[in-house]
Amino acid sequence: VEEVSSQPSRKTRVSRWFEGLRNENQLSLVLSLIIGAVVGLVIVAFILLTGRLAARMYPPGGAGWRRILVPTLGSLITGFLLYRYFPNARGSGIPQTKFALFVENGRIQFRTVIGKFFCCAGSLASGIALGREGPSVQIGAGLASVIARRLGLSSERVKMLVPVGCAAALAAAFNTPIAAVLFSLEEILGDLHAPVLGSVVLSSATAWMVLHLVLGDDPLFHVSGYRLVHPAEFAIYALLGVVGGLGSVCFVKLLLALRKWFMGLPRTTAWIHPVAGGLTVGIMGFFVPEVLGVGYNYVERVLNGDLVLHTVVILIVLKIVATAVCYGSGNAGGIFGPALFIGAMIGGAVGSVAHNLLPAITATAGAYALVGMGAAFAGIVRTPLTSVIMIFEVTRDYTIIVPLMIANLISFFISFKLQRQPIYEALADQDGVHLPSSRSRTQPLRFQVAQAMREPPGILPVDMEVGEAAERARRNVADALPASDSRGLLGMISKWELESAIAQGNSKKTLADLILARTSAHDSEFPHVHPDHGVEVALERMGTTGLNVLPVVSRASVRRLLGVVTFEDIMEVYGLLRMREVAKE
Amino acid sequence: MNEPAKRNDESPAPSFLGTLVLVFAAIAALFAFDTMMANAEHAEDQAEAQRLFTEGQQLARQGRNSEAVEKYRGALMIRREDRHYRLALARTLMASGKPVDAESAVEEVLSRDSLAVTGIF
Repeated sequence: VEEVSSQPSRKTRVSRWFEGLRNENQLSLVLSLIIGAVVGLVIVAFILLTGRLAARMYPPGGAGWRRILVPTLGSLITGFLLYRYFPNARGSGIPQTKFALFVENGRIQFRTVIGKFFCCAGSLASGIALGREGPSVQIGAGLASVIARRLGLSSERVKMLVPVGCAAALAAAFNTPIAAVLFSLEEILGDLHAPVLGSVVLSSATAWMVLHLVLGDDPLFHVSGYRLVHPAEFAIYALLGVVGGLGSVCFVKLLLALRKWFMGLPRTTAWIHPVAGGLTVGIMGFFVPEVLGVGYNYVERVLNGDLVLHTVVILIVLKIVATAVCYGSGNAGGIFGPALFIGAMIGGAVGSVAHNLLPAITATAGAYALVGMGAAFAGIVRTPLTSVIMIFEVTRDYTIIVPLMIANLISFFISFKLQRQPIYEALADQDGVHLPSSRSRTQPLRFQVAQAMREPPGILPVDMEVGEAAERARRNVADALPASDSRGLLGMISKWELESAIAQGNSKKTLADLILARTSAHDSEFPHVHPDHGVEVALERMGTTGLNVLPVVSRASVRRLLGVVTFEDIMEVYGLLRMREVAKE
Repeated sequence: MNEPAKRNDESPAPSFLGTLVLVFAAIAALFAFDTMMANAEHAEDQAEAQRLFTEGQQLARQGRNSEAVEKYRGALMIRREDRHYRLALARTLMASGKPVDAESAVEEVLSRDSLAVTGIF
């Protein structure tokens, strides 16, 4: 018997419709439209605010000292705000968004959105050589998360709406609705067949419409129509792919190395690190103003062949260094824009040389700058499909698409060969965050480590002596025990390691000495699993390491020990131990 | 069988309808803010383009053609569709002895109206 509500007559038709939406799948579609509109409008405000502030802070033709002072002061103020109030708003925003999506159930705080908006607007307007698109993605994802949570939706629905916000943000920031959809699926979700495709398309289209309504129908870059002049040009475009790939690898390696160095400095000084980026870009900007800010004006100029070769070459070097220092030192801003800038300059340089040497069979430098943008984007961000569509959308030039695809793939391949880990994954790794790979996300799991894991056995403090630790280990059935210091887990110490240290007369040494010797010889990482891993992964790692126990750590920090999983635990979830007992009986 | 999804927070969710009303109010406010900012920027851009064009004209009258070309190009970066700016650029390029550049500068105008550039070439 259906329960009849006693009060339906009091409800208006509208409120009943909204109530009905709560339990309907169509809610996702309605929310996609709403999120698309909100995110589109916020990103348009972000673009306008950043542009207008920048025009006032370091106007073209302004005094040279301003170009040093403004970025330095800007990075000092935003650096302090990021350190004190908005620690999650540092950097690009893409790794943070993926972290929120896969580890935090799509939860991004409103405070982070506010911090990202104002700190990025401040740092980009003061001339910091970073981009606005990565931050836009985090702002969009954050707004989607906040709206969904305010509406009281389940974690699953919140997670589904995060990529919807990302797509809307990118569509508005870059004016590229198709590339925004692809990026959300290819990079954020890592699955081109994700079930949220419909919602992502809707939000991207809505944000794009909002952008057009407010700012009109202008592509990001205006370029002349370029075409292939001679089939021999394919070879030069392939060469551009090689140069773009090598340039991308240099940029990524430099950025990661500088960031690692800054992260090694005392944590209490983190608020002042961004000033290193501001001062560096300021000094560069004093001599070469083109290096300041996002620099899309100069991208457009090189796309139209308006920059001479030596300026282009100088800009390649300066922008790579400026962006790496600004990002590495902890300023807020992304690497999408700089990737396009660096790529356009690399393409412009290759094109200028090619056109000077072989004028009859080559297009002008602008065509190569266009292809170079895609090549660097594919090499740095590692989303080859998105980069082809994005270059097509930002320029609306279809004629150069085949050379673009060739150069992109070559650049992607070279970048993959020389820098295995994609930049966003490497950045997350530096923060101790282990994002799940696309393979592990899409693989259907029968049993997860979370189902098999148990409370950690006695944790050994790293200042304990080897002899005492060996005594404790002998009383334990597991092959290895976790060792930790005040900041968390440092690794697992196996029984045979302890026994062999005693045999060598090192029983008075501490566990820290043992771990230090081991990590310096091999790698600072230790074998571990995450709760969402399949138990097959745990078995595989046990086989590789020869241990019958592995630590289970959080994806948010590899040093946060959640438990351990033993070989017997895994057998137990498969029911094999019970079978053995039955057989014995 | 689908079970009802668990709510994200244990605390009571804010009013569903109230949140939607808040979001729509935010959309309206943001739209008004963006439009105001965009209009202000547009007006500033137009004034800047006009300033560059006027400076370009003065330089061209003084015979400083290469500087005038730079000013015209700057103005055209802001107002791409402006036919007068484009024709002024082409005239100055012709006067500088660069007919090929002049032709490419007015290519778009020529494609729309072949009589528009009478007197330049």
